[in-house]
Amino acid sequence: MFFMKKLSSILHRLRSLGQRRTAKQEIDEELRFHIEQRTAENIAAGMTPEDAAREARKRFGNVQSVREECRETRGAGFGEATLQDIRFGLRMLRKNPGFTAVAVLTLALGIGANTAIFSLLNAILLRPLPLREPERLVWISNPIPGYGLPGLTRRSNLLDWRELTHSFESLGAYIGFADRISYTLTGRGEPKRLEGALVTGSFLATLGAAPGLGRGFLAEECQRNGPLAIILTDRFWRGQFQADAGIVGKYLTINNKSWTVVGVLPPSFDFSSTFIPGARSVDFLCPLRDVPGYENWGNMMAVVGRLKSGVTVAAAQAELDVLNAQLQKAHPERGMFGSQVMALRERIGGSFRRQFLVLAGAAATVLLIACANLSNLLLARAVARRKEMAVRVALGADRRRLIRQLLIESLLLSGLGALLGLPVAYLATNAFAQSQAFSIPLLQSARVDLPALSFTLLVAVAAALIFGMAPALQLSQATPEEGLRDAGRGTSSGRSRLRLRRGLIVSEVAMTCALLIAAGLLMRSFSRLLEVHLGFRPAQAAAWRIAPNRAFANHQEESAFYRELLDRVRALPGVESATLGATLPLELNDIVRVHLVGAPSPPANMPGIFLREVGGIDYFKTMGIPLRSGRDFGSHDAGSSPKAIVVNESLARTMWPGRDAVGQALVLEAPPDPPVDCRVIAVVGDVRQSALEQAAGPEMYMMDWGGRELIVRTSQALQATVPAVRAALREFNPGMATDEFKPLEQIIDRVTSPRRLVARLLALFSTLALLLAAVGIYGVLAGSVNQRTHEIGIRLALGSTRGAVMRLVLKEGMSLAFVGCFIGVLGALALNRAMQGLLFGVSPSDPLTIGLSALLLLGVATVACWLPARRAARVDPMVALRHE
Amino acid sequence: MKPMMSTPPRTDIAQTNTEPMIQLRDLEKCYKTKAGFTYVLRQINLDINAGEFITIMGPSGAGKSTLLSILGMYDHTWEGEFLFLDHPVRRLGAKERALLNKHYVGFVFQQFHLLDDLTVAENLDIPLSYRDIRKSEREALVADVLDRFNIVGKKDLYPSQLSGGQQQLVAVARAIIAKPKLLLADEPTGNLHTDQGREIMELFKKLNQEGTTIIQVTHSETNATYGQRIVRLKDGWMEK
Repeated sequence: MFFMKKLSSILHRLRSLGQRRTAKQEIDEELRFHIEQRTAENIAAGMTPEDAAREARKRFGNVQSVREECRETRGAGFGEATLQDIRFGLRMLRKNPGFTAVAVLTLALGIGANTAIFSLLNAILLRPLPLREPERLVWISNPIPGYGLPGLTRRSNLLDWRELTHSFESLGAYIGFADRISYTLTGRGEPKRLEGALVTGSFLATLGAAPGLGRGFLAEECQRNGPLAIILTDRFWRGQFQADAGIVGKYLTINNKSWTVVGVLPPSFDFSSTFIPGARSVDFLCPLRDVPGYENWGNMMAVVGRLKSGVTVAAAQAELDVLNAQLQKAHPERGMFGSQVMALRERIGGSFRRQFLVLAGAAATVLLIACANLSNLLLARAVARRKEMAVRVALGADRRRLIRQLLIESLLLSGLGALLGLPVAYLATNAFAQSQAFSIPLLQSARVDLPALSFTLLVAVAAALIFGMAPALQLSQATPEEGLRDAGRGTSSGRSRLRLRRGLIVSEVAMTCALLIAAGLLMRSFSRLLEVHLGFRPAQAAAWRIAPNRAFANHQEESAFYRELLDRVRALPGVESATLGATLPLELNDIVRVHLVGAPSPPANMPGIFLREVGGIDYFKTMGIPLRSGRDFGSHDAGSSPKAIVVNESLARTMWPGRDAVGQALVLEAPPDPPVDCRVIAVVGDVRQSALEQAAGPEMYMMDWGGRELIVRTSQALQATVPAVRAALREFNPGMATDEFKPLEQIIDRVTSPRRLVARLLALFSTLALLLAAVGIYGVLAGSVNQRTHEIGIRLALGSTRGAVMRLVLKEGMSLAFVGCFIGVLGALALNRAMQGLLFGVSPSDPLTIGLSALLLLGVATVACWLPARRAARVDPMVALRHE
Repeated sequence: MKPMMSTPPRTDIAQTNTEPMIQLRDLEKCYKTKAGFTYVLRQINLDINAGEFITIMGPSGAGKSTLLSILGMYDHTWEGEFLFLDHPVRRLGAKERALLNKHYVGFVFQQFHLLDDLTVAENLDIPLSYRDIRKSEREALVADVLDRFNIVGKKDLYPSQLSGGQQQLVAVARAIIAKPKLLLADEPTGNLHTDQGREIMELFKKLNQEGTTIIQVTHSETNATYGQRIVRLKDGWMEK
């Protein structure tokens, strides 16, 4: 709505500015002209100048009323004339279907690409969050890694902040590792694994996201023994219950307990897309109940706050800094912690700003190249239309009127392009929004909406002005003399037109070159990223998220259950090994702190240690993590004391530099639990834990039977083993949901998805640009050969060889390509800074990428030049001269 | 008096004027080339009264079309004096010259120069629309001219569907639809066969009798007989 209003206001102002002033001036000039003319006639008839002027004014009548009448006529005339121009423009487009098709298709691609990118950009970066007064919402992260999950905060801190700060109207949170809690829906057909998010009672109120149906959580539902309540997400409600409004108040059996559905979230608020993009879609929210044990989980709360009216982010930050220092003194058991306050909008989409701005720049460049091409086509057509314009001038058209007529033709072209581009944009945007392949927040909310339509309109108008203005200005310079006699070849206007056309080609090539280099750099970055040594082998391995549909009386019973489960899976044909784990690499990781036995506390320079809980033997073999020294976990290590641990090479190097880590002891700090004594039984290779771009940090593995991930490595095709594993699990524990299966390679796909998206889109845009540039070069050279047929005929008649003619044309085209390429390389180097943060393992001025991009462009340009050159060389001199 | 933009110009102005409609004094036109100045018109002195029918004749390259272009105020790069209805054309700005042209001058080309993508009626409408005349008035004027030229049945045809004579007929109709006081014609029958040419010349004669001043450029001695006076040009000079 905002965009529409703004656009309409700008257009209105521009039109009135341009028209009102010139129309008023013209009317006044014309009225003055009439009076002067009558005065001159009167003087010629013998009157004195004073009498002549007086008589002229008298005879003319009331100037003001005539002026008003003229304006009235003008106003109506403008509308009529515009309609006339539109009718004529449409007729011209129909008359040249080939040209119209090429122009409309080119524009459809350019405008469609820009609309699609705008729709993504709007969803991720621009559109206000669909929450009440979203500008007051902040994200509070913990910049100091401690026990728990990185970036998150202890529950006790949240409670203290809520009680002791004055900056916030309210604070809420969700549990950062809620996806580790398994939920299974039963009693409604096949058991179904659900994804639940644990949130504080104040979470929805803080965000300002009231349920679309039903109500939020009541205070008693957040109490330890309060009633069990859940709020469904809109997507789950529509998918599972076909949007049945009667579901509110009904009971669902989840994990064999009865939960009341108290509400349904509004469709505008997609929890998963906003907070945990790329993860499995959350099906319901349930309240974090007041259980003291949660404190033992360490940093687990992802905190959001609503600032009080008038309070700035900086003020809230300052208040929390002071409070945190006091809390750390009062509660040393909580360890080091801090808080970093940032606008929620910035937190959610901010990290993708640069990528999407680069994409928007690339899409705009493609459209500019398309405009340059169209401008060139129109300039070529201008030669044929020059006489028409000269006649129009001879019939009384002024320059403004001609420009308007020509621009209306351009607007019709770009309007048709936009109409055709919109479905392209709609399909592309929907494909991205519905794809689960990209872990980008709010991507799923991208759509071609009213702002996108307004943007399309704006782009279409801008494109029409860009590609139509130069030809319109050129054509409107036509003089009636050209209508009186034929415009000769090689006139100065013809030469300046050719210069302009060549300039457009050079700029097209330059933009294409810069785009190719940018795409090349991102593609190389992406390929470098895929070459990163992960530390584990994702190929031919998969993970099932499992949740036993039964309760265990004790730890032994649970261990026995998992042992048998693993034995059954291992016995399946094609299964090489199987194990269990609490988490997978490159997903959420627990952080703990350790110190050597006898040392008072972890050294100050010691970073947090990633802790991975292994749920069965053969973990390293199944994951493909190399054992450097020592032995793998055995069944007896689950309950050992001191606790048997495996460390990675980084931790071994940090703790025992120059010594063998196997057999060494250390103490694991996990407050408020007592410290745990550990003994190293093996050292394994480093594994990338958080991101492919980040080197592995210190990590330790600990064994305890169980876990939510069943990891299976197969000796045959993965897909062939899936049904057998699923059947075995179902047979072993019939109530267990087994529908969630994930090849480990999918983890790599997920973490690299934002880069993949940007690299692929940029590659697509640069391919489009390359194609357009080739068409542009071909068009200009073909036109030039056409114009020079006579000259080529004379050259051939005078004894020039066909090879020389070919070289002549090739030289003309390739010189433009070389100049464009050179400018493009300089442009790409100048844009180094924009690319810097997007690259991995490759420099923005990487000579190989720049060289290959330029070579590719010059190669394509050579082909585009060769075709008209070959035609020139085939000119029959006799035919060419006879036609002249 | 009504402004030109809402109605066609009145036709009584010239009659009230005792001076010639056109006065040329020592008019010269030259092009600058690498070899120096090349003159195409030399010391042209000519008076043309309102209501006259003048023929300009001369061999190719004599400067006939250039003179016509200057008289139509399309060309302003010349030296000397040119008064049009007492307006010193040389001292007028481009806009004022365009206004004079728009109000008083109609032009007929040898090549007809009808706009191929417009129907006959639309071709007739175009000069009126450039004069910001209301649509209802334009429609009336177009209907009147179609009737007058006996081409009502052809109003929805495109130029390519007409014969050469019919095309020139439409071109003349287009030239006079805005009721110009001066009609300039550059070889108006050059592309027509004899009968068609005669029809056009008869039409010119009639228009002249109705008060329109006509200046034609022609190579045809027969066509020249329709005029009252012949101005002969040779190498840019006016023959005495």
